[in-house]
Amino acid sequence: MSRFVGHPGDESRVRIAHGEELGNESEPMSAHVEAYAECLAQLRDIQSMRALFTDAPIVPASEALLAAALERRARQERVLLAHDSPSAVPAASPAWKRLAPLAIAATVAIAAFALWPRSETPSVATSTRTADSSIEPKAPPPPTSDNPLGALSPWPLAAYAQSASDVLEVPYPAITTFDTTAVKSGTRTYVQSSASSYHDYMPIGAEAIELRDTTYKGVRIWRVVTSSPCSSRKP
Amino acid sequence: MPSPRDTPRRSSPEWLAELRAGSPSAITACYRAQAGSLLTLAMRLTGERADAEDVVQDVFVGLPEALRRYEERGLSTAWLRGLTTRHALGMHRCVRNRREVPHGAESLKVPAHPIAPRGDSAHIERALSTLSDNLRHVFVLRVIEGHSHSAIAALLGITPGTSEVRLSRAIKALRSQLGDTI
Repeated sequence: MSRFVGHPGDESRVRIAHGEELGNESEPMSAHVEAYAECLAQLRDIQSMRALFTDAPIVPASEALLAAALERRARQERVLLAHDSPSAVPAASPAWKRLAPLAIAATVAIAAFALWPRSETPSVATSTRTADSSIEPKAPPPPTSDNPLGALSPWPLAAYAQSASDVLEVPYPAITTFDTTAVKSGTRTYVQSSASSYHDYMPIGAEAIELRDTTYKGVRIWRVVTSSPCSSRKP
Repeated sequence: MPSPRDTPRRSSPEWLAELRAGSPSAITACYRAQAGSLLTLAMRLTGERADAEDVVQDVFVGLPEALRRYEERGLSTAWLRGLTTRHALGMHRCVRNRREVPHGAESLKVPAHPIAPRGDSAHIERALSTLSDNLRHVFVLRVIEGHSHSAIAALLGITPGTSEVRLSRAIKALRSQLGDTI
């Protein structure tokens, strides 16, 4: 009898049943199985179990199933099937397709860096516009459906999205759906953006803005006390 | 009818090109040669004939497009079975998430139909269907399909060790079901 290699477990028996290589253990394992009646019986057990399933009659597939598949194809229906088996060699994609994910990742990283809140330590504080809060503010134009942020923004065509902590959540609010009730008094970082018929939201910079609210003719309005760019992408 | 384990005889480059183009006659020829064995495989993986038929139907609907990303001279049965396996497991995962699974029904399920007399092929399939999804998938993929534990682990999102443990449990459970048959 060959040296004792231990009783083979289910996995080893399955490998023997499949005729797979067991490496260095192959020869002693075969000798072991032949020597131990119980191990041999268990190996036969696995082999018979496998044979039961591989020799079992196949389930006939109906013509109706084929007809349904062909009908779906005729309707231009398509199914995306994942295949990754070792026997499948994926077709080489063009270079631009392989680089596309990289380009998208780089764009996202640049955008995230540019929009990251820096209100506490503004890296590019080029100018600060300050208004004297003791002076009664000049009444801004009331919000209209065309420019709902007219009361808020010193730039009529620019809009401020939510504070920087919220701007990463998409989809961003469009100008026409901007909720001015979410604006709060005090200094917060806002993203300056513009909108057009093609883009609901196009960030062009970030600003630390100090806002105060007041009531003008019974309507709550906002005024900008200070605004400091904290992004170098200011147009 | 060709043997289900054989690659279809019509595996010439021209025939493959027709299949890639979605020619109904090529799809029909491929279906007649392969659908039975793929349906059997899908039934073993999903445990339900209706789900298995959905899988096979999807495979033949999506086959031409899938073949466009496959570069081999002949249509490999192993590749087709791999395609079916992945789709069956993916679809079964979705279906299972939608269905309520009673807590504690991990190792054995109550068969929907009484197990057929021993020796009957239906008896074998029903014995398999009594296993939980976890055990049945590993048993089918390892013992019947011959995938390695690493490949099974990747397919099922488990570790190779877990796959080995599940295989032992499946064999033990099946042995008790098929005791006199094997």
